[in-house]
Amino acid sequence: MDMLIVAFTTTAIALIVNIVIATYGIFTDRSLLKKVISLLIFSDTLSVFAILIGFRIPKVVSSPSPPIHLDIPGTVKDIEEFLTRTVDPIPQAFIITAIVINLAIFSFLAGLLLQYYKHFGSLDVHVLEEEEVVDEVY
Amino acid sequence: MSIEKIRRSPLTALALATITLALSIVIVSRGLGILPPKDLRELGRTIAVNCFNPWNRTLTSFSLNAVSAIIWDYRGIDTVFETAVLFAGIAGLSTLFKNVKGLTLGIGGGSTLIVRKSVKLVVLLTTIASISIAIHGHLTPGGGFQGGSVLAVITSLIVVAYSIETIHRLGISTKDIMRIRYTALLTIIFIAVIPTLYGLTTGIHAYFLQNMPKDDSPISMPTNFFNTPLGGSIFFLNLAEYIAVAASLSLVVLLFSMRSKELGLED
Repeated sequence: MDMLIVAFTTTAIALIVNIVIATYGIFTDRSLLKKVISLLIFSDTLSVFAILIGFRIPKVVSSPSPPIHLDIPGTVKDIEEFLTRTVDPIPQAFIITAIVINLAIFSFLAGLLLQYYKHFGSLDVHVLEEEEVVDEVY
Repeated sequence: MSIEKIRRSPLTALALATITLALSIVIVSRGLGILPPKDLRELGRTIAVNCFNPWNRTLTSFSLNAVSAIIWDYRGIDTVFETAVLFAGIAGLSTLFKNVKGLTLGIGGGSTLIVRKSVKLVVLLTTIASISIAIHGHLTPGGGFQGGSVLAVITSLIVVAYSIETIHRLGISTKDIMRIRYTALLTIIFIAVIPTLYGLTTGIHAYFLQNMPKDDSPISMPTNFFNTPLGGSIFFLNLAEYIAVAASLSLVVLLFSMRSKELGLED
């Protein structure tokens, strides 16, 4: 049981490190495409984190199971048995909603990047600033 | 100091490293409570008890899958809006490419014979698997969105193995896919208002997106298909979502695999 808690804590810390690295990428990278990829890693890590919060270590059975009845419950006892082993279904339901919305947003962002590239010929964030500097010099 | 230097300064990295360290210490010292918990949280417990519970007919949804029960029954309106967001996102994407000239017949021969033949097999299997994932969304892991995403993989497989011209030869255009999306979205709205319409015509009180009978409303969607639980409207909504998501994702794949001339990006 202790090993499970250690594994859980390690996963949580690894996810936090992942979030921070993604944040660093969003802040510092010059390429817009890489910024979007960082944002994608950021949101997906958050999704995994939310699902991790729904995890539990059941008291009676050795390992938890997905929140799905394996068979049609015939008696009230079947439902009670289901409660002893199932994980929390709510984070999973919210994350599937979040994934759909992420998908809509990121496909739109990818389209925007294509248009940006068509307009400026580069995906660099500073391409506009540099053009202004060149105008001032000449 | 320019913005560029501030962005690149070690201070940013240092601040982020401090955040990591602080959050890690909080988690290790159990500042966020005991993780992972041993018991279900109260709300999760209520839903796990009621997702398939013939002894509590006003709160159950007759769905063996608790996640599907939340998505289409307990938080159904959330999902309707989520589908609307997906619709709006893809509509925004199509607006960005409003000059799309459509696919032109080119030479594209695709990959070698081995790849093409194996893709043919895989496409058949993938279609069956995706339909199974979608229609069993209330019984097993899966649902409309998951099935739809699997089906959209077929579009990318065909584009990669056979070339995008094959889609053109099959007679599928982006406009057709848009029409399928509209129809699927309207179907979702229609299924959501069926109980309300029925209530209006018969004079019985009913709710939007109602699935099973409530205390003040006896209207119910079908609970069983012969011996198989149907989960009321969950099955039908999953099916409509399956088509909507498959069409949306296929549209994205098609738009991003078009040549810039076809997209109207080159003058």
